Amino acid sequence: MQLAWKVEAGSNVKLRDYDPDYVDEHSDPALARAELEQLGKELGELQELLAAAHHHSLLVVLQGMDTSGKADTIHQVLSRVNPQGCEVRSFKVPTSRELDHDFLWRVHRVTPGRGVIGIFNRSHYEEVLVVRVHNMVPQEAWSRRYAAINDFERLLAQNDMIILKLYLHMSYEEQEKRLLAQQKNQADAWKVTTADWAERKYWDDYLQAYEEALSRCSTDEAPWYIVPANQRWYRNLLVARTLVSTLRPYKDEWEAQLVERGERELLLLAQLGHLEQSGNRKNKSSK
Amino acid sequence: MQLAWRVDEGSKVKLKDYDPDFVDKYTDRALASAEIEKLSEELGELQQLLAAAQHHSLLIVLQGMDTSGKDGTIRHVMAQVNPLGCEVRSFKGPTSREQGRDFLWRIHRVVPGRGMISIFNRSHYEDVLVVWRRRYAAINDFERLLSQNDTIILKFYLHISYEEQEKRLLARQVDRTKAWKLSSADWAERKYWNDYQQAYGDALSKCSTDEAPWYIVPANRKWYRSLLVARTLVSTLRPYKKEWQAKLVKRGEQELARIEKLQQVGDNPVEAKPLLRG
Repeated sequence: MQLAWKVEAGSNVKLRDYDPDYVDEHSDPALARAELEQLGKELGELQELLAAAHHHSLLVVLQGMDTSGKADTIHQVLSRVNPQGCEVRSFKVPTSRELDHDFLWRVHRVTPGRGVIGIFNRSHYEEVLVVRVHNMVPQEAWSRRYAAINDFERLLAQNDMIILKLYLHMSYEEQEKRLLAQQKNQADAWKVTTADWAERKYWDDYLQAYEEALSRCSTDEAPWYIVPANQRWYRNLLVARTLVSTLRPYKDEWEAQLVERGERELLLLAQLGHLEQSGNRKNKSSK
Repeated sequence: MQLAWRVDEGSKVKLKDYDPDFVDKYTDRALASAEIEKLSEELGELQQLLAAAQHHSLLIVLQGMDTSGKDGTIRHVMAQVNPLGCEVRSFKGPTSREQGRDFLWRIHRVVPGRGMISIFNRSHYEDVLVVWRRRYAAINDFERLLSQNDTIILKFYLHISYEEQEKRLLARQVDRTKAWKLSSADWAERKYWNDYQQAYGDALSKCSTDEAPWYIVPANRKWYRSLLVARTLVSTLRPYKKEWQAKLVKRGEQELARIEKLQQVGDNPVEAKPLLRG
């Protein structure tokens, strides 16, 4: 089954080698809809186990250019997940209080606890993307952030966080189509911002910044995945497949933990029951 | 001037090589109290600059066995510091919310922002005294992140002897006014003295770095302990003084230039007035 393209640790990513239009030969939009439905259901079940087992947490980082479909992916793929165990975080321009701290401070605060799914709609990676492209801090400052990010994600992973980072890969031409479509469609027009057109001028700089982030920060414990995202339906399908196939291997472990916990509780109950019974008997005999 | 003993990066600390009773020959109790008075005044001034310059932050980690005097040190040394710019944090047993996260989560939340001083009365180091090994690397990574963000980090280990601890615990039992500090846990923990000493030795060896050094403070004598902490703090901050002052001067000039500009703009209508009248 075709998943999103995993970036192996240590590899040197050139995004032009990845086709944003890619669709595997076994999929089409109709089949995909049915499969997405299935996968969404399975994801819901896996999340219930994740929450109940209360051992792992899951962090999904979503990055991509404007209009690449980050918000839509969350909506389509995670709609079957219980919102109680799922937090979506977006990171806007940092507040002055946040600027008084290191760049990971505000991110660390909102990482998911055990049993919880955290979705970052944009993330700490902006600190080596937009910040780098617009020279918001000196090069010497952003260039050491790659290592800091790897250290940080290692800490999270060692604390039983499952980490998935998804780059939604869309072409320059596709972005133009989407921006124009937003302007035409009254219902979508609220999404239009002049900033999107302005940012588009930096496309190549962004691609280069993404390549470096994907190359330097894809690790065994926190891998990057490249998702071909020109076709929305295929993008959603690959994200769902990648999520489910990452979580599936934990299923047995989580179930075993729950069974074990259940047995322990039953044993406790039985002991309590036994005490109660003997207590009753004692009472009777004393009467 | 004798400071606390700095643990150089990469060195192997054996705590038994450090004398908790140590006092340098130029110092005595009376001289010390005058000096502390001066030092804490200077510290207060340095803090004002730190807060105004709004560039660095200062993190002070205090560790030591029970009764080694962490609270007393804070009280004596930081007496002249403006509490508005200084937070003391202690870390109790983690809550269930905290337990659901990595061990640095609750620490990271309360690190000092620019211009602030934070004092950790016990710290993330408790998590390597009691628990895991791979955490040394995580702590070094974390402290590197902070120092790259202009946090000045100082870590003090208050070094008392086994005998001194016994004296202090017994004194608490005798003195009614101190009895509230007593806890049977202190006597229970004391049984693990050697294990703790070894764990401290490891933590000091593995986590003393150029950007976040450990200092060993001979702490059997309370007055000398406070003196050395004060001296070490002040002598760490003093080199930043010029930089902070320069920043303030520059900012002042910028503001003055801006005010002048505003006044020029504001002046025009005033000048126009007589014309209108005419």
